[in-house]
Amino acid sequence: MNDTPAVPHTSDERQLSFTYPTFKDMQDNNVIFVYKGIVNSDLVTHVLEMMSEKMEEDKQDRRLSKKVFNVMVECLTGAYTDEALEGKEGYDPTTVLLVKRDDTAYVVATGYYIHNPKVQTIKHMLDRINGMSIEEMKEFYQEVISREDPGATGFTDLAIIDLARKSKHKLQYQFKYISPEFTFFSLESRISQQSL
Amino acid sequence: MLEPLKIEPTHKTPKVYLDPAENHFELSGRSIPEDSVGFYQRILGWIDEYAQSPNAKTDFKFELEYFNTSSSKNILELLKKLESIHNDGHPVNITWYYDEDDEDMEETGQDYKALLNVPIELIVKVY
Repeated sequence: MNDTPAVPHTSDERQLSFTYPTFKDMQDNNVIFVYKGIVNSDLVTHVLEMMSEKMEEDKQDRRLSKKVFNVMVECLTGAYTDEALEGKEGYDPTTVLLVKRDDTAYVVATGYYIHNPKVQTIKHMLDRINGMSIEEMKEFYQEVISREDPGATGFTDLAIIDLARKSKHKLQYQFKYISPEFTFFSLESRISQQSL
Repeated sequence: MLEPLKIEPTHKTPKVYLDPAENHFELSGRSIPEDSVGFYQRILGWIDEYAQSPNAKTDFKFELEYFNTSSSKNILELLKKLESIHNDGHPVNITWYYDEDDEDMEETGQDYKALLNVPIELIVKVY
């Protein structure tokens, strides 16, 4: 007779039911880094340090590592909290950052709330950039950065062009309607040997 | 002579070293502040004053590690002011350093070079 009590599988099945599925989902999708919270320049610095260690562990080509860092800086600084929206009812300043690696590329993904009036402008710019060649993007970048007054969307335009030029892949995006005021904007950039 | 402008680097803002007496003009490190317009305003204002009575020759060094889009626009504004000093008959030489592994930093230097009428020398740092 075995008098050792059986170790329960879990203290409370309901409370811990999300941990393994989340871990498994991240493993299946080759997620190597994830962050959810407020993005500011201190966070960007910490993320770069952590990613630097991970890329070293991966023994990645220094040029590819640098390219991934540059794309991350652009994605994260694009997600700095929009001060104009702070305090607005229904606004959530939380950003999610995911970095995953598949057989051919690193994927840097960000997601955050944007104000609905910006949706069409950003979508238009993404579609326009995705339809451009590398040379056309270069010319367009030089045109936009030279504008005397970048306007309300100027920095967003510039950031999108910059991201596409660095990645050399089409930018993947999704707009998920949240409310009459806000939309959740997801953006994915791929970085591969083709980006070099 | 104009007082130098020296700002220590942080993990998010670059080292700024603008000293006419030493003929040492440098911007180096990271530039990813949330408020890049606010940060660069002070530098641009200083350059405006310097332009009133610049050195016979100005050597300006850029050695940036990372910078974000809003910084890139402000750096262009700074370069335009240097271009204006150059075109007013006070030669300005700009050196743009980039890491040998950093194709993007090299490309940005080339963009600035294409946009401005001031000598910009691109120098690769080899490790």
